[in-house]
Amino acid sequence: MGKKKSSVAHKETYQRINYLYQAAYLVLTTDSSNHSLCRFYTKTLKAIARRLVLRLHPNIKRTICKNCFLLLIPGVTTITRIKGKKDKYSETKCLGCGFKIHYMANPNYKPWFENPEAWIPTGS
Amino acid sequence: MEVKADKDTLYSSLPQSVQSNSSKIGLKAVRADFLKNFLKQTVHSDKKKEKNVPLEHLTVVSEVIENPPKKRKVEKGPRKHRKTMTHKERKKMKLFDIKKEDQIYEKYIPLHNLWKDYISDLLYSGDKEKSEGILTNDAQKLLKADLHGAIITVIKSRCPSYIHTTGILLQETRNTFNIITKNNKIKCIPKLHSIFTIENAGILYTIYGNQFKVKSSERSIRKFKTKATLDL
Repeated sequence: MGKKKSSVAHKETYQRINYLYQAAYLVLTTDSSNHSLCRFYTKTLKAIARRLVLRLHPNIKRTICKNCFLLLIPGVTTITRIKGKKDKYSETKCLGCGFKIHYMANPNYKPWFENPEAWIPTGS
Repeated sequence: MEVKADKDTLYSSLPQSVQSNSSKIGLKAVRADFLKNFLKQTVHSDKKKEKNVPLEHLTVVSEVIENPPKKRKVEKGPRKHRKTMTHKERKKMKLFDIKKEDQIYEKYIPLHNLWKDYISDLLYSGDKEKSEGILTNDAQKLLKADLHGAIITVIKSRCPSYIHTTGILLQETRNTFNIITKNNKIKCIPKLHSIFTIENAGILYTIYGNQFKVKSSERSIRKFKTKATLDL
């Protein structure tokens, strides 16, 4: 389509977002009690994405706490349980602030982003 | 004796045949400080409470266990519409302040190594045979790059005590750089009236703090104007 060879727009900002996510993960894994710096990186990550109107992938978006910007790693910063009697749902509780998120645990349901139709073909 | 034998088998190391192939199976060694950190988070120390527990309380507890109090119905108030914290509450929590225990220089060396990989990937991706003369393109890229994790030094400043402070950049705000030095101290250096350098692969990049006064998240969008006059 475009004149440029690189088909990805905003490639540098995507690289920056990727780096910030990795840095936040690395800071948490080297010392699991260092929450504040991890929060700072995820917050800047979200701010960049918001200003340039870039949509984060759900796998990234769902691992950042909405309330306190902490990176959610099960067992380290979250408690994850399956709950509910009739309709089962998974509950992840952030250990930094106590915020809870629910996702339905329906084995027949497939989210749209896992569908191969959702992917934009690259290189053409 | 049976219990003892069980304990021995529990804490003994794996047989050598398993250990040699551990990487193939996917076993990972637990980090030495993992247990300590985990216990620190999960177990809350109530030392103050434990010290002064009179014996009378114990009898009260036993009575309560025998006849538990009836559950009262809790009246629900008006439903909250807001689920997340407000900005005031977030400020109170001090979400972004680095604790004193985490102010150790050696902890952030892996972060610097990650940054090196990132910046070399950003500057030299695609065309590796780029001649060294073209640096304007690099400067444009570096303006939009992320600087968290870089080793930064102050060359010139109006305040003479800031000069020659070096360290890993941890946090970048609109007006300041938060740097951790080798003496395990966090220093907050204002961007105004000072000039910084960043070293990457043998090339020194200078940053003029006066023109750099933007939020780090805002920098990837903003267009910078070239200015001729540069004063401290």
